[in-house]
Amino acid sequence: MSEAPRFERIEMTYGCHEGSFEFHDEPRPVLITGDNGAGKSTLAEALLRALFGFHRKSGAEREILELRRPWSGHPMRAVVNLRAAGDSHLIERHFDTGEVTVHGGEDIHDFGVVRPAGSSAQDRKYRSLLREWLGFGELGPLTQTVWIRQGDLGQTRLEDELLRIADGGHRAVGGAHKQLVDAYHRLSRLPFEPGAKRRSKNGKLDTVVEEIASVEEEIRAVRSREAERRPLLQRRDKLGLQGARLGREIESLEAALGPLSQRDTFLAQLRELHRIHRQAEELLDSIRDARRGARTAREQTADFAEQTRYPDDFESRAEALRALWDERQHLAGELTSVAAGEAQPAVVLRAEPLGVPIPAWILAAGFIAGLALIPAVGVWPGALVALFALGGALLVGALDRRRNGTMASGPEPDIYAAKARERLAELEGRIEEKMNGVPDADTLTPDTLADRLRHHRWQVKVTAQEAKATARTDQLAEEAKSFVEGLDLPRTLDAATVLQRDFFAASVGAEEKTPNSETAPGGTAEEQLAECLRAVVHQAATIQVQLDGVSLAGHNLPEGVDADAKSVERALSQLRRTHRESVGELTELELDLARQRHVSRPSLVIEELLGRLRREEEYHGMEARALTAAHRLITDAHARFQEEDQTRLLELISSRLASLTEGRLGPVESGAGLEDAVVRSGSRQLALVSPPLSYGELQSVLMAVRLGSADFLADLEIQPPLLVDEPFAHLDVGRAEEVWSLLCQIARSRQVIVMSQDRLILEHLGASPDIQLTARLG
Amino acid sequence: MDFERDRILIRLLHIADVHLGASYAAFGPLADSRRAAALEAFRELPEHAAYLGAHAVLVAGDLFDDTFPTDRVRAEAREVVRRLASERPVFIVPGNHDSAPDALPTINEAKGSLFVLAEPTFGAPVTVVTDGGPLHIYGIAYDWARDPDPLASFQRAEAPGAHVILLHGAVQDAPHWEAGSALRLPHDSLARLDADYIALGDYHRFRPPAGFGQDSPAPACYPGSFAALDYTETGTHGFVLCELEPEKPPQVTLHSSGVQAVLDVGEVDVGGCADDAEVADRIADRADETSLPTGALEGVPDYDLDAAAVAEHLRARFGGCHLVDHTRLYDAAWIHELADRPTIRGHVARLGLARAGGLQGEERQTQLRALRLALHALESR
Repeated sequence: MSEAPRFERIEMTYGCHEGSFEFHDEPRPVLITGDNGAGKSTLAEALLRALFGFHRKSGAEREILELRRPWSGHPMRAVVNLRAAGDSHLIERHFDTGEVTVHGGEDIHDFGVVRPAGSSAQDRKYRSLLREWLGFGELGPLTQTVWIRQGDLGQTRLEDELLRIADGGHRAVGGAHKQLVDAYHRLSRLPFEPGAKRRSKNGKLDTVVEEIASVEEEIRAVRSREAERRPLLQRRDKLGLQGARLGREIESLEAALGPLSQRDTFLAQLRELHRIHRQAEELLDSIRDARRGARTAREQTADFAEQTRYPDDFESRAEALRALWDERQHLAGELTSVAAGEAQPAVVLRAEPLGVPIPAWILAAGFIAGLALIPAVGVWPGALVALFALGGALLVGALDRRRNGTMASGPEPDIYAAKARERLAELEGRIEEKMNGVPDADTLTPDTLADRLRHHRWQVKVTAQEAKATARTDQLAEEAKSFVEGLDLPRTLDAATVLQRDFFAASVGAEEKTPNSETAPGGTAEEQLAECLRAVVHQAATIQVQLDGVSLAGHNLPEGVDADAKSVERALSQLRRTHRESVGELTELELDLARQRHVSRPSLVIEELLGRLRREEEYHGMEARALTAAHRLITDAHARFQEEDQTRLLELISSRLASLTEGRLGPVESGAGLEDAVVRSGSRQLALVSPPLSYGELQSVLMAVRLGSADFLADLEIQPPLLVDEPFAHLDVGRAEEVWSLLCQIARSRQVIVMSQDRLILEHLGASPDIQLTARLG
Repeated sequence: MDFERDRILIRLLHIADVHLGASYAAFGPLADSRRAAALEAFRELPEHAAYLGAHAVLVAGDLFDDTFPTDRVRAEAREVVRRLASERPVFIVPGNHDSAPDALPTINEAKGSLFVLAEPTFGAPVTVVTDGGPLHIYGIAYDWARDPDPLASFQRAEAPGAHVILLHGAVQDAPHWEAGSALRLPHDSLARLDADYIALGDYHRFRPPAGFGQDSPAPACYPGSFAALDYTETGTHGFVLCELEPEKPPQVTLHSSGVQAVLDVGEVDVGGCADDAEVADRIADRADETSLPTGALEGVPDYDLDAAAVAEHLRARFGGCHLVDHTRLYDAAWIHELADRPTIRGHVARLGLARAGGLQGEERQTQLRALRLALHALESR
């Protein structure tokens, strides 16, 4: 609950006063005493006039203003320190000009000229400030309630006006309503209640709702675009997954390809080694065959190693001998016949072909050459040569015919015999020549010639066979040398390869173990080949060990792909092609999607924002609902409060009256309105006038009406200081004690300023003055 | 871990969720100054990296708050990344806020030894040789459409050195776990990743490797957001320095970015306080002068407490604050005393308590709030 306002100090030049007065803040009445004319009432008046001023349009007010002109002649002014609404305020008023300045803390607000009933913004604002501090913006209601001036008590009436004054207090409800409505409209532009106006400016809630609508629109747009793009997105997803799958398969195959390639390389190397091994073996076999052939040939030639070998041209010699032997036999027979005269010499002695002498053949050839030269050297030189050669040939032919014609015509027998013998001798010489170097020539006759020829041919054949075998052996040796030199085989072995030697042991066989001591041609080659075979076996064993070390474990090949490098490479090639096509299509798709994409935030971010906005909407919505509920709460509470106003006012007055009269009077009761109120005295109901009330009783009733009205306002939380001027007038001591006691009780919760000149009563009450005024002469 | 050398120590500066360009709207009037402070702190990152001897910098997503940061934000980020990358390799993966490819290419302009890991599937790591030893970084830009389960594609390379994974995603109990479009990181999946360190981003609170469960521990770490983005992100925020040594779990240390932290003062019992200033004092006693307090008002107030007024007192002292009013107004003796009075406030109190009494949940809270608002309005007429 807010603290009740109270005066702290006043400094004034007002009427008889020129100075300042302090008011204590203890929970007891501020007692101002002084003789009549000391200015007690003026001081109380100055406190209120400093705040509310004078209504200059009112003649009565102007009259009072004039009466309060400072006796000193100084400008009329007052500065009041008022504590209200939790702060200290300093209000300075210049009565001559009506100017007002308010100091609150470090803030100074110069209101300028303020008129109590004015309608300017400054006037309204100042009154609003007074209402905030004291509950009233005007002085009138205070004069009927909390400001009990000397002599005014008798004018006090219990009437409905008091309730109307209370309505002024209910303005707190109006202020609260306004505050709640303003707070609501800071949140929302919507009408606070049905029939109210809609605000033009957005509240926080409206802004949030608009943002939510915008974000929801954005989400809808994003979803709409996604719906349009869904087929593309689905295709992209499919391609993405396919790409990922293909990538994994490619990686898997690539991973498997290494070992598979290595394995295939080893297998290829093994096959090559097998081929080399086979080739080496074949070469080795050929060399050995050739060597066996050569050996056989050598054994056969060894049979006639001691014999004289027939000359190589024995075949042609035999032919020549056969012809020579025939001619000798014929010539010898003819010579015998001629010698016996049994026959003419024949021309068998002629040795020229076709009976034409050889020079004639040569010249005839010259003739032909001459003819042949014609195209080359010209007609005449060629023809000259041809004619010359033809002439020579004809001449040689003629001379020969002449000589032979001489013989044909029959030579002389002696001449013939001489020539025949000469011819025989020549034949013998040629036969001897042909017989030279022929083994057993002395027994060589036409009869033995055939045997000799067979023997010669056997010799030739065996020799040729040996030569051929030797040549073949040499050739194979050369081939073996080239073969071995063409190989590049490591000669080192490890322990593991030795174990593998059995792999080829069968193929190499016993031949490898044959001592290589034989010095036959090709023996060296055999050794080289054997060494080569061993190296091949070792190399193959090494590769086999490596091959066994190649592991394909952990490489899962796709279905349909054989576990060999070529198959994997084919599959890889196919997969890569598919992957390239897939990536190509995906790229195109991404480009299409990028072209279709609008500037947009990621959906997660939008959803986060939407969530935050909805939480804000919920918070502001709840606050708006709470403000509406608060408004309704005050409205309903106010309605109930108003319904009880008259009853409550009478109860409060009765309560104060009971205190003042120690229960002798009261309660105060009313009929239709307050004007009809009566006070119960025992069983009687008495009108609030004297008589029937005694004057003292009436004073107590009217005081109770004033104090009850102040209490009534206090319930509305309007508790301006209670100013009571001469409360003990016309009261006996006992009643004065009751009044003082009541004022002390009230002073515990609000400021009470009591002015009294009754020293005797005050002394009796034991009350010491807080401010002692002395009478001044004007 | 298979580091070959005996004494290899790799230091990684791990940062995430910087959210450059964020509005910091949750801080109300402080938003602008807070945004400026966060940017200033980010500018100092190269100095931090140099001072701590970081061999590499890992940015685990959400460097930007938006897919389309402003030119100013881009320029600031580019400059800082350029300075970082000029001294040491910098690795960046996108997050869910800057997931679109339009944001990070601006970073690429920084060049140098900067690696933006933008593939949706794990592949071969990016390998760099640092003074601390070989460092292999694996990272992905999560894209459900292209690889819904990217963790399955991770394979540790057979190479000596430190193998580190950079990811932006939500672990099982993090807020984004339920969001369909976020990368989900089940604890057991994280534990199966054969890495020496998993640098995570997305969760805005610091979570060291010890916070990844005893059943399936993983050498993972969330550094949290670089600076608190709202009042729920309490405690120290900044970046992590991770030290990797052979045969040892990663050692992480959280370093403050220097941006004013939000301090959770917990539940403050307002019982016994005479006014709002005293409640503010009680909160301030628990707070640190350099932090922004946040907490909840609890208990039964002995007066008509105004949480907004308490917050105003704290703002005057700390620059900002966030309070939640959980006080039990309906239990307060003063309001029952008030309800006994014949005043209009008494009527309001009586009627308000009666109305709230028959309600439950949110409606009850609304009525209690209405009662408080009504009393305040009448008080401050």
